[in-house]
Amino acid sequence: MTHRNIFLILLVFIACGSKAQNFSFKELPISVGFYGENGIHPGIKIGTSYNFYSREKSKNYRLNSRQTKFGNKLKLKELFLDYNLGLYSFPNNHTGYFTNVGVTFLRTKLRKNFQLGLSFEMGYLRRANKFETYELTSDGQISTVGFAGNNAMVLALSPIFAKEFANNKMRIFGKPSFQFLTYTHTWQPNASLEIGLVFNIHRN
Amino acid sequence: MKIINLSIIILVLLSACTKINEPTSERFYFRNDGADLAVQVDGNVDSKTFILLLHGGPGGGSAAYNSGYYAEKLEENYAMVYLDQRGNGASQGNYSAADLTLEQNSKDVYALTLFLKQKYGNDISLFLMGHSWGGMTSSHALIHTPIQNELKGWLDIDGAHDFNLNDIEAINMFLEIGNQQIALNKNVDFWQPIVDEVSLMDINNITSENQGYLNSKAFEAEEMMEEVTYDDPGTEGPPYGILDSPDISINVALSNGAGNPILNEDSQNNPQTSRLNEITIPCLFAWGKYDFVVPPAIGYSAYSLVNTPAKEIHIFDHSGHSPMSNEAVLFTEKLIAFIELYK
Repeated sequence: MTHRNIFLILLVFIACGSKAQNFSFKELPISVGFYGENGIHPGIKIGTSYNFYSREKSKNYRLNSRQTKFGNKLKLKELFLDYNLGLYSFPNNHTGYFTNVGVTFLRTKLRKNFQLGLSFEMGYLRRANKFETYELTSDGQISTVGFAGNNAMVLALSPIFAKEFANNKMRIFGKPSFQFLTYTHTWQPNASLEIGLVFNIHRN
Repeated sequence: MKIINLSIIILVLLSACTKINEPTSERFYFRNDGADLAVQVDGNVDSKTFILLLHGGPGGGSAAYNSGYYAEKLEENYAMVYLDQRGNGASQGNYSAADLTLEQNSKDVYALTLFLKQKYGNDISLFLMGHSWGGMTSSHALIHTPIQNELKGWLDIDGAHDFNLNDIEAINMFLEIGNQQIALNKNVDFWQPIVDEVSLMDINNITSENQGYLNSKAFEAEEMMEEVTYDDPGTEGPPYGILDSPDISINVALSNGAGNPILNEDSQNNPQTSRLNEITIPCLFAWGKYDFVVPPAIGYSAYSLVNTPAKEIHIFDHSGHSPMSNEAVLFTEKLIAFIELYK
């Protein structure tokens, strides 16, 4: 790891630490959404996030007419640490239980409350076999395997498209996810789709 | 009145004594050497006759085989065991690429036969059926594991037991049929470039590019043959749709795709021709006359080399690589006749 990477990680922790002075669990937003593995295998994902960096920018419009009409262009840039839990059902194959942590960058255009962002998540997936799993013991007898399945590491990169409403206390988002995960003997790409709501009743 | 009551009681008692053979459908995973192999058992378990089907590929899956007239009829009479081989279909688990070999797949198949006998009774009659690349796994298992002791017969359906020989015979078949079609002035635009291309191939040094060409053109060639029919009076559609399919997923498709070259190379390096004489159980070879993927010459080769008097070969005149779909009724008749003879 280079010095630059260590410096960046330290910066994140310092930023989190300085924000954490005013931290309250009650202020954490809750996200709930449909999680579709490959879009077609339905599931649910819930999570929360901690805003450790935010900066508002104000700029003039280039066109005078727009400047007169709308006033300054306002943009909010935020960084979040995320934690998520979820599950999905892959019919006739497995039920997936997953948990992950991530970092999300969100840019909000404050006039219309549209948000664009990018999220990186890293997590663990347990694929629990949908059906009974048997094996033969060394003496040739049938034995049922308890909690049969397999484990995977998952990396995910996701663009985020969102819009805030209800005085910025709720956000609806869509999040297609490009994943890279372990399966049998190899790392392979995969995809998922999330559509959900974030409830942030303490947001100003 | 008494007679009526008595008749009803006798009828009820008789019907209670009648054994009804209910079709069974059971899906489970069989764990062996790190892999959870997806297994679907459909059909008449009470018949005590089981057919373990090994699909084609590599990179395929058994779900594609679980429909059509042949599957319906076989399931009506017997129990069909559809296995997704390691690195294929919905089979999964925690194992390394080093465990993705023909030898390991054969061990899996053998272990599954022992399991089936434990689960359904030692008195079941078990047949091993392989289609296409399933012919490679099945022949390998028959030769390299003690599986023959557990089986009543081998059903080799357009199965490739020797990739190199297969390529040579495919070249010969393209030249022979291609030139015939050109002479008959049929689809000359299609056949001429193929004949030109395969004429240049060196049968002592068939490259992977050559193999890719032969395989891709084989399916196209089959479609060009007007003799090939698609006569499948099956009434049931595929068992799964997109939403409930056990193996439709980007991750599954790409992972199985990644395993395809590994198993292909291993199959390439393990021709079974020289050891087919070690197969001594009853054998049925069923081949489409216009199978350019695994030419009938491969079937004749296996038929002549297996060391058993209990062997049959059937060439289906209106079939390509999948006679179970091309001539479903005739194909099923031949299979059932063979199974009834040796079960």
